[in-house]
Amino acid sequence: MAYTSFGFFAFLAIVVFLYYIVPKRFQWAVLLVASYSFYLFSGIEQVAFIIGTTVVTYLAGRLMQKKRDAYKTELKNLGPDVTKEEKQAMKKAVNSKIKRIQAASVLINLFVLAMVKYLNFGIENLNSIFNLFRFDVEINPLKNIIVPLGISFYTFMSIGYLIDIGRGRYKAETHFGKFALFVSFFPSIVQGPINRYGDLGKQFSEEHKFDYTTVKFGAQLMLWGLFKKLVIADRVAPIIGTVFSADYEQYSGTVYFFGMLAYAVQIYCDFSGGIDIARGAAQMLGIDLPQNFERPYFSQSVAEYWRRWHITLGAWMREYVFYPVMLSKPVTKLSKFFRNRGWKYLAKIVPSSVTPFVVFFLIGIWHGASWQYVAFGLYNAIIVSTSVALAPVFKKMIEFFKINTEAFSWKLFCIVRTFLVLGVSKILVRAPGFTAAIHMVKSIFTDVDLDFIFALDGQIYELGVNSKNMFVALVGVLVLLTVSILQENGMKVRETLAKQNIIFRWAIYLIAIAVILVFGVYGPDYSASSFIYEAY
Amino acid sequence: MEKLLEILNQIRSDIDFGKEKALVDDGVLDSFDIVSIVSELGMEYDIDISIDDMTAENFNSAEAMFEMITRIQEED
Repeated sequence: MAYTSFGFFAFLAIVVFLYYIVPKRFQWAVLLVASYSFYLFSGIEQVAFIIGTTVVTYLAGRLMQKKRDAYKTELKNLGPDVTKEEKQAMKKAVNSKIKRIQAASVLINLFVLAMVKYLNFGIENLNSIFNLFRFDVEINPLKNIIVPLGISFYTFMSIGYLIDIGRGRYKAETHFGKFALFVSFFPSIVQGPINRYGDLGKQFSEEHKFDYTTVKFGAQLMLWGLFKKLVIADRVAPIIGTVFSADYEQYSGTVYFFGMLAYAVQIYCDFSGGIDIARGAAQMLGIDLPQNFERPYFSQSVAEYWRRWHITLGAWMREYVFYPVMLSKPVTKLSKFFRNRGWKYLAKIVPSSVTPFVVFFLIGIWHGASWQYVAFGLYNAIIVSTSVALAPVFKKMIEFFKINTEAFSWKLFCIVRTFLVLGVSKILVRAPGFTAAIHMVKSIFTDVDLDFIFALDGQIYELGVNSKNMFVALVGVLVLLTVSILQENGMKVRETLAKQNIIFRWAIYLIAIAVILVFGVYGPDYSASSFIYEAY
Repeated sequence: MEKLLEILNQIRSDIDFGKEKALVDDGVLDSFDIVSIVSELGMEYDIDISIDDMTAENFNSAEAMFEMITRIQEED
């Protein structure tokens, strides 16, 4: 059931109604039944996977908590007579037990994810190696592998939970139903955000009274998400399909550049629109889901972009990959090695420039099992690492040329530069293969077709979107840009709107609904196309 | 505390560490800054800041960092 379908709105209306009329202590149960009902729409065989993950993660969490509680009780019973050494030895023993449970349960979760998402990719690569050395062996890729809905998202959430419990960040959930709800919560199951138990879990134990403003704000956020997805993303989609098709060679570099711009618009509106719908639906239930986007295209560096795009994935990587690697023994030893020799710069820079490769490699393959995604990860890693390593040089250059980094022109330059650098990585994943991607990037610089821009001979309308639709898309993007600039300057759009007169307010709501109904792009059976991130 | 402020200022001279109270929550410090701080504090105070200490609360202000350092020194 797509978040953009009428079926989903009807489903949500029923859930919201039941949620606020049942006794407050059963609200979680309404959400759990709703979440599993929603999940069942994607197929009964998929449910086994999410239940498996839930049971394993729940039990491992409880077991880790049991070990930690037993240690604390023992320490308490021993009283003040226990020596510091004994205390440390006990702590070490319990930590090692906890770490073993943690590692086993994390590995089980990763194993399932690897089997459904990466097994065939592994088989394909093995076959290529066999072929390279002329071995007469070929492994058949598995057919009909089920990739359960949202598996990348709920697996990462479960792993995050296991690591947090292992670190003692919070106590393990004892209520199985509420834990199952955390893993399967229907607004965020399809494409995130990647929730953390510490933020979301406790909200399921709170009582949520009906609050008109909260429900209204939730509905408005959903409407905004639908606008981004149906009016903009799905409208420009044909351009991307045409430019990045197998027949790409017929186009000039300028067309590729235009395709890259369209893809940047599409992927942002598709993903952030979907997240707005998810967060809006959750808000209607009084549940706060974390922000996943903060106007990423206004970023002034690639590192900043990754703090503003898919924020919850970035935060996950920072917590569970970046920090552990940076603080791991080999890395700290390497850092000390340089420092002891007086190479302070290297002590700081080497770990900071190597770790992004690990992080971005994982971000790459998280998106999909293909070498194009690996290349996408490495490309981003190279840029982030280089900018970290060369930061002192850039600082000196800025001082030398007396650049005012607070000036609007400089900020704009940085924004455009970042957008274009990231445009290359977008081509890298969207192009039909490596050769195509390289050809496209090269052509942008070498094969400039000014007629495409200035002749207005209509070639631009031959990419799958006619002039009227192009106009609607352009207006849509301008509306989005205006709202984004207002938000960037600190304006809270929904709060500001709430302060206006009732006639103006309702005029805006009705126009917004009419725009989505009239200009939204629907398929033949009024079902919009699926979300891009649903496949990740 | 003064020593700590000096160390922090060497890492990011553009931040007033005496005043800021939400260094992590408001995104004033990024993850590279935090790692630099951890490495620097580890050296200067001869302590091991473990992954379990890497919470926003421990790095949101200079006082919070100072408390964390004191706690780790006492535990060792």
